[in-house]
Amino acid sequence: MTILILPRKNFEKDIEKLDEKMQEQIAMFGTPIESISDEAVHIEIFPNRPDLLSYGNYINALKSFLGKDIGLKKVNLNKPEKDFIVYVDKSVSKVRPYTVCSVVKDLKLDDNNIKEIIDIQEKLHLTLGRKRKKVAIGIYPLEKIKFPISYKALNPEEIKFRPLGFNKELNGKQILSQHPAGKEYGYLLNNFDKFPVFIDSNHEILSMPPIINSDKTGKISLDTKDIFIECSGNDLNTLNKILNIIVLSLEFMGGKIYQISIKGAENIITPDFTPEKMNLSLLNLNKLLGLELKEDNVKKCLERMGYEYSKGIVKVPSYRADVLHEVDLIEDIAIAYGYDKFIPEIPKISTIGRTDFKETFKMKISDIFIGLGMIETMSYHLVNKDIIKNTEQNFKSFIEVKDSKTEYKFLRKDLTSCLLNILSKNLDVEYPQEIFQLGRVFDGFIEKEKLAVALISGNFTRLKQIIEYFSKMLDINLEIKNPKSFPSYFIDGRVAEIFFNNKPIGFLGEIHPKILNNFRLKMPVALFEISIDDILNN
Amino acid sequence: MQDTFFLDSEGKLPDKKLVNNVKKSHESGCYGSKGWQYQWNENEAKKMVLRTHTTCLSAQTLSKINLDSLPKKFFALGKCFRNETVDWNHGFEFNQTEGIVVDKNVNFRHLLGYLKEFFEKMGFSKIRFRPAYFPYTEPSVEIDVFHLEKKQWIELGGAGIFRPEVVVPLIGEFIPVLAWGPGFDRILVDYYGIKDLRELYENDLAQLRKIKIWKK
Repeated sequence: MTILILPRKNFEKDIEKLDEKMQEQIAMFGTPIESISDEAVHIEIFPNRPDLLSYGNYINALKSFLGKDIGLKKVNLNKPEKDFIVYVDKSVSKVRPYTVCSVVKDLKLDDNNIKEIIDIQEKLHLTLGRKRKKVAIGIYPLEKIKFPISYKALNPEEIKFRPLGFNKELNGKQILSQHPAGKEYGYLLNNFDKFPVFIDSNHEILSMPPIINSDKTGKISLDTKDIFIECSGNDLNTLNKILNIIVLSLEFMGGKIYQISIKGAENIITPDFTPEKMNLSLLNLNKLLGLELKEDNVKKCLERMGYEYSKGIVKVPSYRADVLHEVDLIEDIAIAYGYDKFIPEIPKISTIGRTDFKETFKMKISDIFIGLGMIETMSYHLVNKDIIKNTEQNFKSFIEVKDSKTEYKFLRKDLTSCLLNILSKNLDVEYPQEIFQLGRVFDGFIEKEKLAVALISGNFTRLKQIIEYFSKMLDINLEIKNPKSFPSYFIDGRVAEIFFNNKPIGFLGEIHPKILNNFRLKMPVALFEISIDDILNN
Repeated sequence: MQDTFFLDSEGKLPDKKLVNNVKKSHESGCYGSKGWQYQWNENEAKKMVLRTHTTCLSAQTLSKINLDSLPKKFFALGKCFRNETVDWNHGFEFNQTEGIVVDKNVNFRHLLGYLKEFFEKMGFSKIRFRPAYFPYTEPSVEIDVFHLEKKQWIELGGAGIFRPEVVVPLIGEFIPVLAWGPGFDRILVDYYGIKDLRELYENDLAQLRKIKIWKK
């Protein structure tokens, strides 16, 4: 979950009082409030809206939603200054082919701003940037570098600079093995012969993306006024969106955005805020939402969500990463219209309902045993080591889930061990205890529906009577025969195999004293477990 | 995928045509969509997991639906799994109700109608709908119910209309599918007056003996 913190003081200065009504509006904008205090409100930003991941961008969007400064956001772009050029060398085409860049001037940075810039960078790396795989972002004080800049790939041994936070020079390979960022993201470069770098006209290496900046040129401070930003990666479209999101948040901090000429196989100028165009049909819109919105109303709704609309064509802001289809526009229109204004209605569609036969059958089985005064139980589908150990089964025969955060790591293979475990947890509850469970077990990767019944204190004869009653109620014929072999948790001579239509479907018997001992049970337990699927399939 | 239980095995994918439709829908889109523009990886899709949503049941049901027999409605109650640590409010297993309504003329207001009815029947008289995000629905909605004792809104579950990128590969055309999948462990806990979700799996027989009488 990605959280954005809005300081209360700033919010109330930039928007209005953060009263209950405003809190409701924030939730209805699609950014639920996680927590709220006198200092700040914490809101959740959904993964489809990375463009809201900075205070400034969020405030702009919310303002527009509330009806102030609506429509496509006007961005003041300054043309590239004389040397504002980044040359993209052919050598990067295999490893990290694209870059888009910008300069932002006249920033007045304080500790909070710097923290926020780092924060936006990290959040964008994680989300849209796919942990730097798709996009990595670098930010540098402009005064430390000299344009024009080159983006090229070099042999790792040729790359020598002092990475952020280090006091000695390392080469490309050493950065991957020694620097914390190298260790974390090194896998993104490891398989390549050459690593990408940004170099300025003083032949100073600025950074080795997507890993780390140089300590000398890549550290912004309170004195920094002008900055250079580069985004590098393999998807030009996403790069543009990320750069636009960043420069917009910097503009909110008072910065002036300057474009840069990117020269390579293709010459482009970035940042580029040209909106994308998408068709919108009023018919589709009203049909999907169940409304009768008129065109001027739709236009107003779209403008409040930051779009521009004219004659069936919507201009989508260049920083929106989530608009794939008309339905995405329709949802935004619904949000602007107000989810609380929709009148819920059950459609006049009649169908004939019925429950699934298997589920009805299982409910019937439950009723039979509840009728006998037994208690239905429910265990986790995952079991822990103790349960396996106590039933003296082999761990290797269980399927283990990867990296479980609890001690429950194995898919259960039977219900018997779950019932014994329940009895063992209820030693001090009044006897006799008669319990059952219906549930799914895992025989390898095959899932099976089983039924198990356990009695404490119980014996073979009583259990046999229960099975006979059960088969009579279901009107099925269950045969009980001497087993050729049986699970080792039963006592030899006090166990039988249950057959349905000549097919073995399970066992009944008394539990071996040594297993009872493992579960600290002091009374005899009689138990059966059968496959429900085998009965159902006939 | 952080909260998904992965198993060390590969599953089988459905027939080639369906797989190709899904792949194309993700990579370059379908039915006028741009798609998510990434490389859809067959091996990733084959990874065996314990399901985190019952939505997979709706997808399977849609892939077998007979379009001549619309309207159709389906529901399911099912177990889902999340690799989480366990506390009073979270478990690694939980129950979800899944429902879909498939018809050419259903819309967002109808979805809200079903949800309102469902939660009213569950005993919540004050509910609200707010915007939400799920990758497979658009529009999406979250249902909050007002908890009378706690005096606050509680998030009870998500719903939406399946995206064309989801529906078209499964059935070949875009028909609105209203879909919801709220968890109901919190409703269960409230109904039985239980304070801790873990108690649902505790199987305290003394407590269960009492609950059964009380329920009737």
